[in-house]
Amino acid sequence: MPVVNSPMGGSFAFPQSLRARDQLLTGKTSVGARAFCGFQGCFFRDRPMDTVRIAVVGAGLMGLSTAVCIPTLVPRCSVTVIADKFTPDTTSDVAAGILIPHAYPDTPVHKQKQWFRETFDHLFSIANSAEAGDAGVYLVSGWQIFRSMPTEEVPFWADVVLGFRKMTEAELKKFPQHVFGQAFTTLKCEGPVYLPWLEKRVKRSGGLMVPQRIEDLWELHPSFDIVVNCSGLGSRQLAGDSTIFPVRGQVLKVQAPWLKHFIRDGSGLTYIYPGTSNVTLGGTRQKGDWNLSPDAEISRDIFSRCCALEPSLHRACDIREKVGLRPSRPGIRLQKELLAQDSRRLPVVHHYGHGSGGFSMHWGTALEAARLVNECAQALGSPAPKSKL
Amino acid sequence: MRVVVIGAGVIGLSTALCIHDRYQPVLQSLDVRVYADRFTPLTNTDVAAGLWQPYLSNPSNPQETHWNQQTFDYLLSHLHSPNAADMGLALISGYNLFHEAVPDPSWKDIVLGFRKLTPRELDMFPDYSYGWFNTSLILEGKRYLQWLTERLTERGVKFSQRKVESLEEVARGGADVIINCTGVRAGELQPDPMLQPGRGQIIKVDAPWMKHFIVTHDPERGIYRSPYIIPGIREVTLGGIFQLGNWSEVNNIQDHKSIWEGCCRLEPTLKKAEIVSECTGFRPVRPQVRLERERLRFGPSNTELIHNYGHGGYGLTIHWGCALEAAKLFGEVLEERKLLRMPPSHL
Repeated sequence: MPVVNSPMGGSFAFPQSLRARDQLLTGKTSVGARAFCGFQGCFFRDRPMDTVRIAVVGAGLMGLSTAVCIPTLVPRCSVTVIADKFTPDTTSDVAAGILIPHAYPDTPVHKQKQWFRETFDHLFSIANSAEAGDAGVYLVSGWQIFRSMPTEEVPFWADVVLGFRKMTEAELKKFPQHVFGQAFTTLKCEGPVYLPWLEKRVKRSGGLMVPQRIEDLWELHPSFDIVVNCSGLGSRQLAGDSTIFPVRGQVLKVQAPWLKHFIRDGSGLTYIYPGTSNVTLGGTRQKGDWNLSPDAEISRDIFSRCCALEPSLHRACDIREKVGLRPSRPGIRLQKELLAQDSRRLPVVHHYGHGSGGFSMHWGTALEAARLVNECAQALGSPAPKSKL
Repeated sequence: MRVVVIGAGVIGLSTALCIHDRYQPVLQSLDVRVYADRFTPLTNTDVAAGLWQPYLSNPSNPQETHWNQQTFDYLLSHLHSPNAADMGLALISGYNLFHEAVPDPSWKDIVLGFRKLTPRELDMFPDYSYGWFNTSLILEGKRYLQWLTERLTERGVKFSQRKVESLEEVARGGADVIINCTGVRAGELQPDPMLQPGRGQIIKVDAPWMKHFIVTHDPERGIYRSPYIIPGIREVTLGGIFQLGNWSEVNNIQDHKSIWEGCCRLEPTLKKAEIVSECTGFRPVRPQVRLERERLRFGPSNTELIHNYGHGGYGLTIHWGCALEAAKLFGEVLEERKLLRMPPSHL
């Protein structure tokens, strides 16, 4: 687990259960400020009085990208990312990271298009720079194919990706079961490389990473002035949100370096995404399924469906199974909430619920989340530990 | 009926396979052998990046366009089989870049999805203002030669490593038909002033994030003298050297710098790529492919000779069409010698 570097100089391992420790010290069991004097005691920063202390809960794609955006918008802040899982153990590490948007029924289309465009443009400039390899971002071309005519031949994101057009008859011959297709060039953003790169950026701007499981957002009061909730499925507990549910996705990561194109069935159920060090074959969409263990029968089915689209995959080797739980919601939750309990107040910015579309939307939504954080920071005025809002 | 194929590059091996598969079923006595002094990985085919792409201008011999098409179709039909990777074959898309607008190439309807580049795509390449995007094929020389060797070995075709000093030596050794696939060194067996080496040097790097080919063109400098980046199955080939008349087999440091700087300027992400190897090869340059018969007479007997060499920088691109044509010429020989009862099946 990441070593925490304290500004005091040494490094130390964060205690596994703060609450347990403090129960021992104080004999108290409530989740109030008491239980968390440990937090302040463990690492206090030498901070000027007007620094806004921001906690980002969650170190997946949303947590880290929001942690990168916040210092660019919020003057004089400190950012601490707190999570029980860091890369390579997050859901974002399982996803293939291809930029093909998912449609959210409850989010206005113009917003989805804006976020996708912001994300695409941002990653496109990284892909064309010397940073591309370190960031794990690069261009990939391919086809999205349909067994029957789609209701929408030209999706809302067609002019954001590059070179979007309908497939020709000659190209469709490669897929005899399919009657229509779209060809385009998009980006792939590889979690296991991109997330560590984001972590570096967070640390470079003075952010801290803290491995700790948060059971209740109030644990962060009063050590932090603003909390950004990027806990994905964790929001069922942390935000009491019953509208978020897992959509289980199983994938195979295989060696097939001759594959240079993505192939995606329009249903989204079967796909082949070539990466830098492996090819992702998918997948499944199992609503409400929390099971993180790979299922052998499902793996065989995924392999067989992908081989039907791309017979050369029969020669693929070194097949590994992975499972991720998409944090699915009818719409992405990007919202401020002021938590109140007795006389305590805790501003929270929620940034979660991206389902299948995390990579496609992340930069646009992270920018928006950072804007919301800035609004909270402005509202705080010049903060003292017990300032009223 | 003893057939000796001289040369074990892509032309020699594919011609041997084509002839064997066409005529062995109808001619039991068919005995095909391959003689060469260099086999994979030491042939010029092994150095080639393997991108299927003819020259931009129309060939002086219109048959070559047909042979290119036949090769593309043949390879495309193999793409759908599990064997594709074994053959070193894969689909690949990419960019052709120019400093100014140019007419579409004659092969635009052979490749898949040919279109012009959009302004946003051109933004990626600030030195260029016009270009094409299309989906083509990679046929990796080394892997393909290994595959061809395996197929020929299965069929009982014999390989013999030797330096052939003269056609006469092979004729007197008992060959009824000689297929001359000696590539750039064909002049050693029979002087050919139209044949010249087009020396190329390439750097192979590890850059697995590159999924597209990028080929630049500079009409002032000429073909293959402008940077190109061609991903293969595992490694990426960087090139941009074409020196007519240069026989030096040694990697040249100036050429290395020219390739490296040109390609890194084109694709800055390559700066972090690790260099795996570097090699030199010789394109067998000729105004057109020499694909024709010749009759030799040594002593009392006639030996039929079929030339199949001079494929320049597009050997992999055109090889199967030429193999089919060579097989057709071979069929004519069999007919003349009344060895075929039936007319040769249409190829």
